[in-house]
Amino acid sequence: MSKDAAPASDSLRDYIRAGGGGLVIGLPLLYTMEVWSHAFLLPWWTILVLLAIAYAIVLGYNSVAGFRQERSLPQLVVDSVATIGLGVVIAFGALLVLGRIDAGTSLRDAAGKVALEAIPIAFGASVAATQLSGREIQHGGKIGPLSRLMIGAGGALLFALNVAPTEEIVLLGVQASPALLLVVVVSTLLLTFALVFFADFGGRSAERGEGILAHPWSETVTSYALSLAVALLLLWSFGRTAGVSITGVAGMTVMLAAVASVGAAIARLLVGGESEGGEEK
Amino acid sequence: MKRNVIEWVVLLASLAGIAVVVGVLLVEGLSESAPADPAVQLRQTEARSGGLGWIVPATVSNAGDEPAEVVVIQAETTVAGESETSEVTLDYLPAGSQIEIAFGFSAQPESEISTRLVSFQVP
Repeated sequence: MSKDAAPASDSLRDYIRAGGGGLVIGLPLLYTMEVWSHAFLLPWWTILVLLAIAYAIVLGYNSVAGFRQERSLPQLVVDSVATIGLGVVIAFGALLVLGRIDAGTSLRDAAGKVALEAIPIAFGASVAATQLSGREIQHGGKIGPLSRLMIGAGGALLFALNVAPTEEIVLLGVQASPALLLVVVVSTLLLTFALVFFADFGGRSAERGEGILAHPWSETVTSYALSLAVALLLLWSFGRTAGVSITGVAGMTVMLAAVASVGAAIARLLVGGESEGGEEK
Repeated sequence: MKRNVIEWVVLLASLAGIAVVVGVLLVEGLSESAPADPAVQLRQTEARSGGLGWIVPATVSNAGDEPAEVVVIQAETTVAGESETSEVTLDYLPAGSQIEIAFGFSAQPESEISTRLVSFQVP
């Protein structure tokens, strides 16, 4: 608490950067009809659960990276509220400009739209502040396997959120045969393994830390399991699982998890994997 | 870490935004919930002649607390001695919202226009 406040111009730049990143991630969903209609079709508590999960992920991400480094836990909690809040304010503005909220819109409908659209914007704001600024992640080069998995889950949610509300995922899942789904599972595992451990985007080192989860194959499989969970959660949130047979749900989950896994892989790549005393990025 | 003016403004705006969104969802969610109840209000004073016949604007509202999907609404009247119906389908009718529509007839009706709800899908 002894530190002085940052200069106002620095803060302004940080928020503009965060807002820009939020729009980069949020715009596709701001322009997606299914999200508008889910705002009033989804039960109120589902929207609040989604918002709470989004907050947990933003908190997790900000703790590892996020904008404004060197924070205590209360600061982290408050900053993450500000990130979600920034998403809410930007979502409201964008929905007004796009004519999705007007005098004829009910309060409940407007609140639902703002809440749903705020989620990707908040993710984008959180990610942008570090990834787009080219700043180093300040952790003494220490990101454990669990943090990597959590960041992966965030990436999975962020990517999968773009397709989860659409009708296409239902068609893909319901029309796929079990054999095809198996092919999708294997391809997804191979693709994410190759992306994270061989493609070497951003000069990321393949050197690993100690422990079971730090092994490439176990990280790939754990991350895939998390992606399946994220996919199922999203499908349930958007009411896609109600009244659908178990095979139908499995099909949709596998198809959506393929998208989620790529998101998780990219997110894990972006934060790097420096283990204790590992090399600099 | 101290906060400067801009950080305070953003934080307060954020808190206010979240409070409103969560508050509305909670209040609307926890209050008693009535099923969807679509209603039509004809705006006869704005009725006019168009290139394809007689246009009667109307407002569809939903007095219930639940949304409705694929709402089909019919209007019926007599034109030139014959009964004529006009039908409108709304993809979505959110709770508490108003949607502007227009019914069309071949010419100006000679009798009262009656409206009725044909069907809707429960989400």
